[in-house]
Amino acid sequence: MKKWFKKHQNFNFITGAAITGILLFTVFVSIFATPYDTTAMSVADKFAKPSFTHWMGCDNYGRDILSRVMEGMGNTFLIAVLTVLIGTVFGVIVGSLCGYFGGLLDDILMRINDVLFSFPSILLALVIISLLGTGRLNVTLALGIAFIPSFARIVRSEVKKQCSLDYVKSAALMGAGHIRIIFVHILPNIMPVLLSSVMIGFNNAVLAEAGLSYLGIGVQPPAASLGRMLSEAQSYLFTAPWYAIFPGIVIVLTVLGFALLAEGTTEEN
Amino acid sequence: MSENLVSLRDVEVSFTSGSFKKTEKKVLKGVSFDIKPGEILGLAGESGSGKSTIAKAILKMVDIKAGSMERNTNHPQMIFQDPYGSLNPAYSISWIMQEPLRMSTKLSAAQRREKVALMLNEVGLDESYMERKPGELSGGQRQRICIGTALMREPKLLIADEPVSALDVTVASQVLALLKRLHEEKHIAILFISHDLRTMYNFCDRIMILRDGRIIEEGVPKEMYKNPKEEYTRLLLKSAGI
Amino acid sequence: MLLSVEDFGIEFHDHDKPERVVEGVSFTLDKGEILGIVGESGSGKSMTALAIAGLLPRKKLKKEGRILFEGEDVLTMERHKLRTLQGDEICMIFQEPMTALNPTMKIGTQVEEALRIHHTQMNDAARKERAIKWLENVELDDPERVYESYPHQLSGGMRQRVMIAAAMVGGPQLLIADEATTALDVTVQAQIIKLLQKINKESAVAILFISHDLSLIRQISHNVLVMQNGHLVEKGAVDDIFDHPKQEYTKKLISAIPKVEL
Repeated sequence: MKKWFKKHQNFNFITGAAITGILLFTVFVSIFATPYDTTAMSVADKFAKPSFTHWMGCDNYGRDILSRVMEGMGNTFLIAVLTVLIGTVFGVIVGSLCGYFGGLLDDILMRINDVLFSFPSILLALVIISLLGTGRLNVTLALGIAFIPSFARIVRSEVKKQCSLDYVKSAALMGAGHIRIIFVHILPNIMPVLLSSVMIGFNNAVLAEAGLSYLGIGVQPPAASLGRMLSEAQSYLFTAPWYAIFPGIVIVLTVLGFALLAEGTTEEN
Repeated sequence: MSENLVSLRDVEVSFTSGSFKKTEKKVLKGVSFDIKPGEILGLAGESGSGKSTIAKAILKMVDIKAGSMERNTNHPQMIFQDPYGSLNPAYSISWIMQEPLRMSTKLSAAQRREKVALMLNEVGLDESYMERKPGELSGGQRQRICIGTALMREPKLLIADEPVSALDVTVASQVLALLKRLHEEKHIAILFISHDLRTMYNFCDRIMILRDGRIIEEGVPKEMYKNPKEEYTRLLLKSAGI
Repeated sequence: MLLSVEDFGIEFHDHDKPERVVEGVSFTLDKGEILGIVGESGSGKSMTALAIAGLLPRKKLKKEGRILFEGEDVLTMERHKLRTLQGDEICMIFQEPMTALNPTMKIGTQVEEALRIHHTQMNDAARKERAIKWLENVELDDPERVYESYPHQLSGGMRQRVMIAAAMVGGPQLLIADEATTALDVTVQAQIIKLLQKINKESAVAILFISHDLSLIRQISHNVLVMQNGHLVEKGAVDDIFDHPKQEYTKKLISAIPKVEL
């Protein structure tokens, strides 16, 4: 434990870990219980100001905002994690094959990659959603696909760099096959780079989900998501500013936490 | 007369570059030689002469365009110049040295570790190195690990591509002594690729001078150094202060 | 006496524990002398060279002793004063001829750089004339063409010649060559050594030649310093050191040179 602290003795990493830790803990708690039912409406509490009974106030239907932020965070995190997972897994497969084998395979896959890359990922996700339809699963899938190209690029260039080192040739002389060389010998060496791009990717995914939900094609009501709450709050920005402020703060904190974590891990390597 | 380990006959290798306008560059222009079992064959030449390409041709890492390469030995092994790039930085010494056994044998983990421990002793290190990572070792220690790893598959031929030119002089002489000892004990043939004619003089049984993709002179060091036939060999010797 | 290093030491403070990399090194260098510093990695030879050139970082580092260049201490000298020395009186050439030149600038521009900074009164034509003269002095064929070319159009040996020209163009008193021939082929190496000897004779520039290669040191130097782990092990005239080494370490280094007896 002492060793761990010594190793992670940089400000960015510690602050990032603290912020992310608190947010993840809140999400964890929300799985079991939230202060109020997230969909329970109450006319009496419509636009209630933040108080000791409702820490973040209530929305236009009198629902407790804290409870909805907790649930929304869970949804947003889940979508972001799955999105990054899809992007990373396929990005690593495509990128490492291209980087390792090169040649025609590389040319073909990377040109397809370039075409996908030339669309902003939100726009690409919108196109995919328009084909698949809305909903939590489809949004995740669409964002995941939209995230593959950037990961594939990073992995490809890193694998290419590693391939020029002699340990790769040495592994071939040991009798290791191509797949083993890529995934057992090379992959651990690109982990640091991959890890920090995963964290940056996670941030982008949070923002992308919030963006899509804001446009009304992400999580569908009455379920909550941070982006959805912002979009609903905008009509009441002046009458009930807390409705927009709290989900907004949580998005900012999430992104900040992961950005610091990413910065911290790159510093350490 | 025993069979040659490797025979090259008029081997030509060329590389192409550029995706639209292909330009072809001939690296080897008809190279022929044999490596006999248990000999140390020196291959001397400057950068761009094609030294490393010959190594790659023997290891089947490049395509041979013309001529033939016959290999009567399985999995020849290679030691590289840069001891900092040739060991995988992500794994422990023990893991790296076990890898050849994992690939070619069905030994248990305990048996593999035992073999690694033995090999570490043979290359002048001890078991305490097993759990270390390459990043913690010096250049000379790494090169010893590389030699040990190469010997795990019990090759009959070892290709050493400038194995000591990145090392300090005192360390280099120790590593060379180790190679020589292993060569004598295990009767391994060594193809010793180098630009350093001084080192090769005492180390090699036979030396070939490579220039611009061709072997221009070949002979026993003592005779060749005394009476070089080619002007270029003379220049190389003079540059090395011999 | 051009350079006098007195009880010089460096201590790094960038980790938890301070680390001594050079300790108690003293030597002198006369005008026009070629002094070889030989040592293995970690001997502190490059650190000493960087200190003389005033290129050591100013932070996280403790320097001891004095390095007097023409009577003035480069360790405590003010920055603007140091800058008038660097590139004009003291020049340095490095190991990697591939990265030491800026790939986007013409050779001519890079060779003239020292003149542009230190000899501002010179006009363009005079600068070009001086640069061409030095490209010719370092035995480059067709200096006019080299002047107009870019680094990638030249071979490693040619680039190292360009580096020497760029260093010499301002007429320095001291040229520091840190492993300047290590990355080159043997035949090119021998040519560069010869060139440095010629320049030393013609321009009377003192050369500090740093290398791990004893046979090169023996060929070029008048006097030799042997360094190990930050300490000066032995110093003396080149023949004394090689024929009658006194210290155990020097003997070990010399015996590590492969013998060729014909």
